Amino acid sequence: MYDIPELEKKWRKYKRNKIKKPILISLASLIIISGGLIFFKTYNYNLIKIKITQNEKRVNNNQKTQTITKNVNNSNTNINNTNNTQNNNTPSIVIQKVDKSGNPLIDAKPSQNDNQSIDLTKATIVKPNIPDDDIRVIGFDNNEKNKIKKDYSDILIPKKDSEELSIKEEIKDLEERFRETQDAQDALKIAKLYYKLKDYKKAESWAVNTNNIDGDLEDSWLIFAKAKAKQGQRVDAIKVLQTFYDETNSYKAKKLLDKLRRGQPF
Amino acid sequence: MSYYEIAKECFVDEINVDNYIELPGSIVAYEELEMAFDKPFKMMLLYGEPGTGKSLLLNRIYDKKKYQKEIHLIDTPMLDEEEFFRKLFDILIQKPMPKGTKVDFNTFVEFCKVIKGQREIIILLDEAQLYPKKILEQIRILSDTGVLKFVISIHKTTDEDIIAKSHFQTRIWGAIELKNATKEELKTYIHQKLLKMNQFEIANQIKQKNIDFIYKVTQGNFRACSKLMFTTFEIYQYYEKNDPSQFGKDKFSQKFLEMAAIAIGAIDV
Repeated sequence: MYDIPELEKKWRKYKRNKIKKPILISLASLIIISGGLIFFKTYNYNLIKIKITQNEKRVNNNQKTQTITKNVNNSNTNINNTNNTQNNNTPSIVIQKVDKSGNPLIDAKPSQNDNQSIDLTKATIVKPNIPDDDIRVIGFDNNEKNKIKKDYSDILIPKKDSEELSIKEEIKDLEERFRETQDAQDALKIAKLYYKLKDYKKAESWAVNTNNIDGDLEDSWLIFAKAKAKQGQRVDAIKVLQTFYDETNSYKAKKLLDKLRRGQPF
Repeated sequence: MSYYEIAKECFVDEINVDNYIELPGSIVAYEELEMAFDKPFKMMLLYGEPGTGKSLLLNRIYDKKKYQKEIHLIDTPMLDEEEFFRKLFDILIQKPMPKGTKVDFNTFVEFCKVIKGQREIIILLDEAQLYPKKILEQIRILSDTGVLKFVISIHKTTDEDIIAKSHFQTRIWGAIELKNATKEELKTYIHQKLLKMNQFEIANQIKQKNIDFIYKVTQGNFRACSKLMFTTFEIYQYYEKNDPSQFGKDKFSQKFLEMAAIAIGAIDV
């Protein structure tokens, strides 16, 4: 006999944990979702802001990004040139104030007399030299995503189709090999693959091929019967399978026979 | 005897064919095995996880067929070769082996060949995964004589492959897998067990919510389920004696079920 009072203590602990768990999970989920939403909102806002400024016509897709730098001082300095050379591959904003002698002013505060402002919204921003159509904000813009899907629909193959394609290729290889080897196992495999492709007529035909080479292969009988049944010839399937079962007492054949007789899926 | 004590007795872990509960899964297995007896098989493999009812099925079929066929059940594994052949000698010759003698295997095989066609003996071998490889090999040779037919019951482990593939691959006529119960089967199992002992009231108190929990913690394993129910009624007995206010008379206690699950280690605290 168990120590029941001790067991009851454990049960109370179990109940407490049972209640605690969902609460903790809910809280954690809430925090993660809130954090995610805040991040999403901020990030989305920045992306939209950049996109608004990119409204000029672009000439060439492959042309490198150009940066237009706005100088605060009218005097010519090499500083910006240097910066341009360094960054001409990436979109960037370069706002630089320099003193009379051309040295950059790092901590200089903006003067009211200056014609320029360092207000970012007024600065000219990087212009990636690519057409508007190629600017995609994946994950935020469903229209764009749909467009991509539409444009490339002829080259994007759905997963199911690609599986079918690989099965067809495998069949092709096996058929070629079978022509040389006349191997019953190859023929059986082809029958199985056609069955998988739901090409039941061919599956049946290849099961017969297999059986002509080796009549003892249990699977060839099963595939034959299944393919027959799938083509609506359930009675024929049962007859054939019964013959095989009578000779071999095959357990698999029995199972399939039962299913066929009961009209169950197989 | 209190109701709960009787209810507890319903779930004692013992092989009693009178308490056999017919469930869809076990009926199919039984019928397959029964059907196999009428076929010219050398071996049948009965496999499944522990607690899925293999031993009970063997006992049941033995009980049903013992007057119709020459059928023998070896339910305790015999690890000693000499002991095993003493048993086989007893079965075959129908006389105990004289003291101070032992079976010569080759002569034994020859004897089987001589009586071929006259007798057909079915031997139900439970817990066969425990037999040494040498004995398994001898079983294989004996099954080839066509006189001794074996139904081998094993746990579904990697050993199953060893037995099924290496030793008996070509001899095994069919394999029957016993699986854990479905939720519906488990419900029937529990109710039937209680009803067999006339525990109608308690059976009616066990609702779907309780069954869901039992199924969740036992995964439909009959042995685990019996253990859980047995412990639950043990807890009932304790409270009935010490603190009856802890449970209602008209509702099955989910608390006791959970406590039992903790006690048997089916759930962690």
